[in-house]
Formats: sequence, structure tokens, C-alpha cells
Amino acid sequence: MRFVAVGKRVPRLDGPDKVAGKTQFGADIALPGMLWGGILRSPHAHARIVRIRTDKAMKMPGVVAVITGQAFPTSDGEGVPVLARAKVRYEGEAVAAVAAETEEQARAAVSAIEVDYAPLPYVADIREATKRGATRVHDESEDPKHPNIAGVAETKRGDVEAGFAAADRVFEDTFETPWVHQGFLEPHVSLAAMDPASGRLTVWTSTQAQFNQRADLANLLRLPMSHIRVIGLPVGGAFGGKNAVCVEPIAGELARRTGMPVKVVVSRRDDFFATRPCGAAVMELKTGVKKDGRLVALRARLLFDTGAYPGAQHGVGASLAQGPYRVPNLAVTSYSVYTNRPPAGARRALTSPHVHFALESQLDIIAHSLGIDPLEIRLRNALRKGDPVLGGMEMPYTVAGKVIRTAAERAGWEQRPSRRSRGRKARGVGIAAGHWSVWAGGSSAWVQVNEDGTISVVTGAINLTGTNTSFAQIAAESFGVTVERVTVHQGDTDTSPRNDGSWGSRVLFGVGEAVRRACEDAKGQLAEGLSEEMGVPADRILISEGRVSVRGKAGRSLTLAEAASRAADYRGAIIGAGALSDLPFAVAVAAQVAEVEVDRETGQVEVKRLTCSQDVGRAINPMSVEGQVEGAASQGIGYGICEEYIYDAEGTLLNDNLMDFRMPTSVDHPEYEVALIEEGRDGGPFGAKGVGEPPLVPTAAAIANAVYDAVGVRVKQLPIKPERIVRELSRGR
Amino acid sequence: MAGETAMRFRVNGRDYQVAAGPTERLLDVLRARLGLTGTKEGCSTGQCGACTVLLDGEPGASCMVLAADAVGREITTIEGIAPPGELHPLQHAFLEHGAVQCGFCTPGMILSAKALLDRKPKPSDEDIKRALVGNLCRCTGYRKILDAIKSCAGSTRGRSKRVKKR
Repeated sequence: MRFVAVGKRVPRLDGPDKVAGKTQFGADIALPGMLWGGILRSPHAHARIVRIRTDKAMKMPGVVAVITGQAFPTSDGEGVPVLARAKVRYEGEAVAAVAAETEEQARAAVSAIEVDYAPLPYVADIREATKRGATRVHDESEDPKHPNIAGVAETKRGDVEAGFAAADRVFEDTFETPWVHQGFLEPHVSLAAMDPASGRLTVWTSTQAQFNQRADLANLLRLPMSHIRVIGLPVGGAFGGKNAVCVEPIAGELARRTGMPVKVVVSRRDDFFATRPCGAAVMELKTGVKKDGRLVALRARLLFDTGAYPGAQHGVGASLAQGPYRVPNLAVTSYSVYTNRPPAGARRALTSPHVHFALESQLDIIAHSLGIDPLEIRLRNALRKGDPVLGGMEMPYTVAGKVIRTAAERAGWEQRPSRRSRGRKARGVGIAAGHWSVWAGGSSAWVQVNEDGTISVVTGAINLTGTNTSFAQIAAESFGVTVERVTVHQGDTDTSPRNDGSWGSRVLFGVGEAVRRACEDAKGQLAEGLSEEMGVPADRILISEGRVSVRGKAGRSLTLAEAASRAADYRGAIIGAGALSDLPFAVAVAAQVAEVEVDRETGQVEVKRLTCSQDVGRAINPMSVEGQVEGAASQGIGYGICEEYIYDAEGTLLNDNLMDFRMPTSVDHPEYEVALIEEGRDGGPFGAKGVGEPPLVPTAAAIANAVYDAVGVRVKQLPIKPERIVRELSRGR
Repeated sequence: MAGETAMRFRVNGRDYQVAAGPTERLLDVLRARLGLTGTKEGCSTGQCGACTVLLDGEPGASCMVLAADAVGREITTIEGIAPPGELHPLQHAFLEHGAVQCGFCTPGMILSAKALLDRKPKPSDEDIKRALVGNLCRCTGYRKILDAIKSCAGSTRGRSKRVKKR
């Protein structure tokens, strides 16, 4: 199939403003008479709030309002209170907030709020938290034998015990992953203003999910949805960290009380320890295999740290535990565990990177133990069409093997050095794969064909990754015109149709398909509008290559502009709509080969080369897809070798800044090779599916497996810290 | 703000007289006083590079510079590297190479790159990586940024290009 717009490398439509510094992010917006919000946060990981005194703060210069937990009787959609009530359950939990005329005054007033805390014992470790007699994060948590269990998910297939009985070898290993921050560069920021006449609240915010924000704000502020307008702003990075409400309700409540606009900017430090980072995990795997490496049984016990409040960690972890492999017998139990840590949020692919680090590391252990090539063991087990995958679905296509093989071929797997070098710097190569299921979610779009034949697309989906540019390509393709004739507008909750949040790699897949359907709807309206005039039934009118013609009748054709202006005369306007939520899940498989250099003296790991392959169904904009793959892989390098929250014995976060929480920099980036496979096509637009999250999934395991290849050290705990490697190497001497 | 005094700044070739406080940072003057919000604040501690501007041609974190210390220096922000309606070759290259995703690091990144190319028009790959080490980007994995800068090597002193009208 020949495309006019799909598959082209189109620069981001919002790029010119971004490179010019003209894009207005949340912190760049100011309103006349605007107040500044400030937030008081708990210094304790766990404490009872005995008393809060706000009178001194109220009398400080410039202070207009002070609020505490009483302002919010209900918690947000995930059960997290906006301001703590009665107890604080993690260091950094918001306790009170102020609005003042200047940022400095707000800061001063925050420190004048007096809180008496009665510190309580706290629990910070997932294993400790689940032991009998452990400190309870929530008094009401039920089962005394299993304290702090926030949620459980179980998945079973076949007969796992029979599977182990039939296995030639059984492997048992435990893996751990740390707390990490999503690493977005733009801190959380919100601005709220209430119109006193109408009682309507407008909130401008850096969010991935403006409609979900509206629903949460309606609940938290006890306002009808029709009284809330959320305007999702350009987002300076999110990666799952801006899914949930953060300071929006605080800005909203302060704006309501003061009658003035209120802006709340979260400091980098607060963003580290008081928003929703990605939680730690402990994963125990017991895997039975045949001598030839075929997987026959998997039992997994997965513990995900959900922090102080419930989250969705366990469900996703359980649903991805088989990896992109056929596992005939399995039993997975997955828990979300409360600890006195920040409430865990999402991070690119939620808990899939955790689970695949465990699974893919163990598969490497199995391969080496059985004397099978790590590539070969993956190919032997790779999912094929019709294989059961979790959630009662069947794998819709045979592509996993090709994805894995492609990564290996591009990386020169067969030519890799067969023996470890004995020098100080050792090179090693490792492979890992991963998968992610892409769910369309609530997706919608409007498409208008203008009188001059240009096309306007409106969606309410937040444009994080350049999806608006891909929407322009999809619309252009649908009408057979060039991308320049399409504009894409991200509306807000007043001006655009409802969409779920921009998460789960769903936007291009779900909203992209809604755009395509809206285009088809608009084309149908054009045809109907012209049917009488052209003297043929609507279904004989063909719209392609930017022209409107009659099927089977040469010569009679109109330009899109002529057709649109005439059809609009008949119909008022040509406005197509697309809305859906029911696309079958798409399965995205990614594989990566990492080449590392390990310094035997210092334990330092350097990723030299990362070869990434991924089935994307269809690359609507290959440049953008490559950008997603490279960016995710870079995040995976950080997850693999340097990023983690470090706490002291008192439960205080020590590395709450971007120097000590080390993310990869320009000198850490490896040589990337990206291979896009366009085969596993589902119901997405032109066969496209989600691409942003899957490439983070295999990276850490590929690096860990490469480290093993280089120096023979198996690291089962992320990040792969130099001291761990040095310790293991010195043990072996 | 208490104790404000009049200060003169030269920003993007223009002179401004601004009343600023003794603890005010150059970043505050640029963003809040002059409305030059292209300079971003990501960490307030000089660690992320989003607030990078050029001071007498050298890149620096404007969150770590007191306003008073910037008086008398030639300050360049992202708004000042190309005439209105035009793009600097680096800006154009960032676009064409897909080096822009969320865009929050982009202004600082471009200014660090400009300082490098002004000083060394044909830098090595290593020079480029080192010049950007203080500018964090979480979206791109850096490769496309390095490619964009490389494509400008030897040419940035040339004319800026018209913005493509869409």
C-alpha cells in the first residue's frame, strides 16, 4: 500500500514553538491578581497529627488563606488524601497549604504553621511490611496474619505442580528493583481560578489526563463536573508521573476560598519525595524447564511497594508475568504492599519493567545453566499466534520470535566475542525481551472539513509524545492530502470530546483510530451531501487523493475544497466524530541487545551499544517512534545502572535532587540501533499500536545479562551498582 | 520585594532597566520581570540545565546567578538567538532531527550547543557530548540531539532560516 502521509518522517507540529522558547508551560502562565500557593509537608515517615495551629500563619504578611485536611473530606480516585487527615503516612505528605500574595510570603507562611506530631514506628521495606506483627500503615488493614496488603491479584493456567513434576530442572531466584523517579524535567504545576459570578472553576495544569482530573476535582471539591474546566497544558515530561491529581485540588480549593487565581509550583525536592514515584518490588520466581530450554511451569510471587496508599501495581504485574513466552502452566500471585513511602504512581509501562527484569534475568540464568545460547532459549519459547496470554486472551500474531531475532542479528549476536577478556575492562553482550499490552481506553476525536479543503482535527487527548503530529498524518492519509493541510488542536474539557489519560501507550492506538473513524465519518457526510448534486448514491462517491469523484466514472471530479463548500451548504457543516473504547488489546513486543564494558577495578558499567527492535504494527511517524524507543531505552539504562531512591535509617530520602538521583546524561548515552518491525497489526489506525512504553521493558535485564557475560557476576538487584560488582568479583578471587 | 534597586541589564542586544531585589536571581529577572519565559526552571539548584542562558557567550545556569551579578554582562536567551519569525540553524536542526520531544530542556540545550559551536565550529562527537553534560533530557536519549548539533557543525555562523509557514 502506498501512503501519502503515513510512514513519513514529519517533524513535530509543536516543535517550532518549542525550539523558539514560545511554548507556554504551566510555570510560564500568570493571571492578574494571582496568589501563590505553598504546601507544608510532613517531616515524618509515620506520625499522628496531634494538633495543627494556623493562626500565626494567617497573620503573616500577604497571607490570604490557610487550609488543612478538613478542607477535603474525601480522597482522590486512588484513595490518596489531598491533605493528611489525623495521620501522616510518608515523609513529604502534604499537611496544610497557604495562599499568599508572593511566593516568598507563601513560603514564610508555610513555615509559620505549627504542627504537633506524635511519631509512630514506620515500615519501609516490603518484606518487613508483610510479616506478622509489622507496623500497620492503615489501622483498618484487615488480616492480622498478612498486614499491609493493599491488593492481591492471582492468575492461574494449567497445573503448575504437574508442570514442575514434568520439568527436568527447576530454578528459584529472587529479584529486587528500587524506588525511582520518573525523571520529568518540568516539576508539577497548577493554576486555578474561580469565576465568582458563575461559580465555575478553571484549572490550568501539567497533566496527562485532563478529563480524569475533572472527575477527581469534582469529587474532591464537591462541584458538578459542569462547573469545572480543566485545561491541560503542554507537559514538560511526565512518563506516568502526571497521571493522578497532584496540586490541582489545592490550587482549586485556595482559589475558591480566596476568590483569586492561585498558582502552585512544586519544588524539585518536593517532586522527588512527595508526588508519585515508581515503587520498589521483590519478585520470587520458580521456573521449571525441559532440558532443551522449553518453559513448562512458572510460579511467581510478586510484591509491589504501593507506598502509603493503594495503587494499581499488582494487577498489571500479574498480567505480564509470563513475558513474551509460552508458559503452559503458571500460577502468579501479585500483591500491592503498603509501606511508609510516597504513594507509588505509574512509570513508563507501570510494573512491566520490574517483572521483565526478573523474568529475563532468570531466563539468562537458565540458558547458561543448561548450556543453551540465551538467544536460542528465547526463540524456542517465543509466543506464537494463538498461544494463551494472560487475561484470557490469545496472542494475535506470531511476531515475538522475529522481534527477538532481529535485535540479535542487528547487534551481531553470532559474531560476539565468545570468551570474556581478562583485562581490566571487560566487554559483554546480553539480550532480553519484553511485552506490554496496549489498551485503547476511552478515545474520541472530531474532524471538520473546512470550505477550503483543509482539515481540522480536535481531540481531548494530551499530546505528550507527538501524537498530534501522527493524528495529522492519519487524517491526511484518510483524505489523501498532504500533512500541511491538516491542523490538530488539543482542546480542554470544555472544548473537546472526552478522552482517557495519555498513559499505557494508548493514545496513538486508541485516539489515533478515533481520528481515523472521525475522518471516515466526515467523508461519509461529504458523500451524502453531494449525492443529489452528483446524481449518484452516496456509496458511489469516492474520496481519495484529495479529490471527490464518482466510482467508475472518469472525468467527473471535484477538489476537496469544492466538495466541502458545496456539501456544507446542504448539511451546515461537515463534522465527523469518532469515539471508541472497544478495540481488542494489542500486544507490543520489544527486544534489546546491550553491549557493556565493565571495569573490574571500579565496578563501573558503561553501556556502549544498545540494539532495540520492536513490533510497532505500523510506524505512522518513524522519526517519532525512534525517539520513543531511544528515550525509553535511555530511561532503562538509568533504571539498570544508576537510578534509585536512597533512604537513611530514619526513613529520610537522601538523594532528593537531580545530582544525587543520577539520570543518564549526554556522556552516558550509548550507540543506539533501532529496528522497527511493522507486522503485528491490530485495530489501530493503519495497523499502528502503542510504542512509548515497551522499549523500557527489556533494557535493565539486557544490561544485567551483558554484565554477567562480561565478568560472570549475576546482579539480581537493580540498579547494578559498582559496589555490588566489585564485591562479587573480590569474592571470586 | 524588599530592598529593590534599579539595575540595568543587557539582554538579547537590548538594554533594560529593572527594579530587582538583592536575592533575586537572573532567572527571576528574565522570566518574571522581562517576560522571557523561554528560559525554564527545572530544579532551582543548577543541576538540570533547563535555565541555561549565555553570559558573555558562555553558558550558565541562570538559577545560580544573582541578578546583580549579571549587570553589565551580555545576556542571551533562547528568544534572542534568531530574528523574529526566523529560526537559528540549531533550532531548525533540532526540529528536523526529531531532537525535540517535550521541549522543556530544549532552550537550554540549544544555548549550550550554540556556545560550543561559537567557540569551536567543528567540534568532535566527544566535544558535543561534554558540552551538553549539564543539560538533562529525559525524553530523547540524547542521540537525536547530538545528531542535530553535528549537522550544524561549521554552519551556525551562517544566516538564520525563515520559519516554515504551515
